[in-house]
Amino acid sequence: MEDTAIIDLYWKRDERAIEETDRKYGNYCYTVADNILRSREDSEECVSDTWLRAWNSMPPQRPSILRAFLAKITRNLAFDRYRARSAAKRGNGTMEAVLDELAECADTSGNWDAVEAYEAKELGEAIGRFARELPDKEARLFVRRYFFSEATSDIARRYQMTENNVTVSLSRIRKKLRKYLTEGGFM
Amino acid sequence: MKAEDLYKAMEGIDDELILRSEHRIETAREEEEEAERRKKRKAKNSRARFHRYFTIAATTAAAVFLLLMARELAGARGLKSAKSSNLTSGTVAQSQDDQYMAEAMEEAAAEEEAMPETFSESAEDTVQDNDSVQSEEAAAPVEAEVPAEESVQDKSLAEDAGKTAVDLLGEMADEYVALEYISAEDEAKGGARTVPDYTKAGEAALSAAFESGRAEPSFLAKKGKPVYYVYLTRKGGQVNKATFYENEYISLDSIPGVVMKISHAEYEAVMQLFR
Repeated sequence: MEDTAIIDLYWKRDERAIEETDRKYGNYCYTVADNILRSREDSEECVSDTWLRAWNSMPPQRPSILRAFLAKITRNLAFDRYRARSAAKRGNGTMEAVLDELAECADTSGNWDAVEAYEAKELGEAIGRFARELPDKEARLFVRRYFFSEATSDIARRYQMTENNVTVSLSRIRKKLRKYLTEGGFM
Repeated sequence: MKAEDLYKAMEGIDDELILRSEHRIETAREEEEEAERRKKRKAKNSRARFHRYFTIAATTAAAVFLLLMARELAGARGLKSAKSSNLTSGTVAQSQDDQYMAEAMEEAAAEEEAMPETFSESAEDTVQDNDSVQSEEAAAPVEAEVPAEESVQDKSLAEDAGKTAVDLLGEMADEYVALEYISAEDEAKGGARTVPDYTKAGEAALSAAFESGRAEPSFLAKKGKPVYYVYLTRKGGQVNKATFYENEYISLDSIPGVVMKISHAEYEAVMQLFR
């Protein structure tokens, strides 16, 4: 079924919308969640939560790209679940590695919490601009690693690159991001 | 700002870019497939180009070969015709058509003379014993044609026998008004041409030389350097040039691309005319 037809089902409050979404994007959303959670049970629950969030979001929203819309919901839910789960313990999986890498670009001054909501929106927009300004190949790597939390080996396989090449490229991108955020007044 | 906040902020990435990163999987494969297709296409084009060039080369070679063959044939016919028009007496047929016409008439006359003999002999043979005649039947027409040709040539030579080059030139007065020769060496020095004082023996030698000559493509023949030039001037002022080469070849500028190879004895006999 076409995405527009699925969205129409949501807007008509037809429960077949969830069936069709699960049929078309179930595996996709599961992968997005599993990249973060690395747990089958948690990922499946996350996907179910995604359908509920989508049901509550449409209407009023009418996403132009349903696939990306669902990916963002799944990613957000999975990350929340990850944070709740890792509050007690910290592992050494892909997600930890991604966060460690991003910590290189993060501000550690501690005054972030005071303006969190506003800054988060601004930061999201800045990240969006930064990603758009990257060369195409780097933008792809950036999205796969820091949006989808894919392992470097998977990215290398996906884009026919060596893992070392991916790692080096990501390192350069992080340096650019740090400079970009510094110049943008986020740090 | 923590790393988690930054990670969360990644949601600010455009949907299009997210989708594009998804599509890159296919694009990467497509690029690989396209590269493969390009490679195959290139190989195919390469083969096609080779085939095309080979075809062109082969066609050109065939065309050149046919052209040379045609020239050789035309040269042989032209020279034979020129001979029949007493070229050795300093004349050249006005055009190829005239040469062919003269040749055709000569052959027709020869056949007319030969035919009665052939038919009469064949008729006699059929009356005779069939078993003993079969082998003779095959040989009879050939034997009959040869004397017929010889009789025509003898007749022609007999008619020309009493004429000098000047006489023959006189007969062709409407076409040729002068005959001159000069050695290549003298011409290079700017020397004057000579008007020959032909003898009948000289004319016969020159005629025989042309008659026995074997036509060859000019660019293939190892003819050596030019030794003598003979100039035949038409009434209208057009000049035909015959060239004698050191390796016993003769050429006529009216028959381009072909040279006649003659025997050493005949070449020497001809050269006597110009020494």
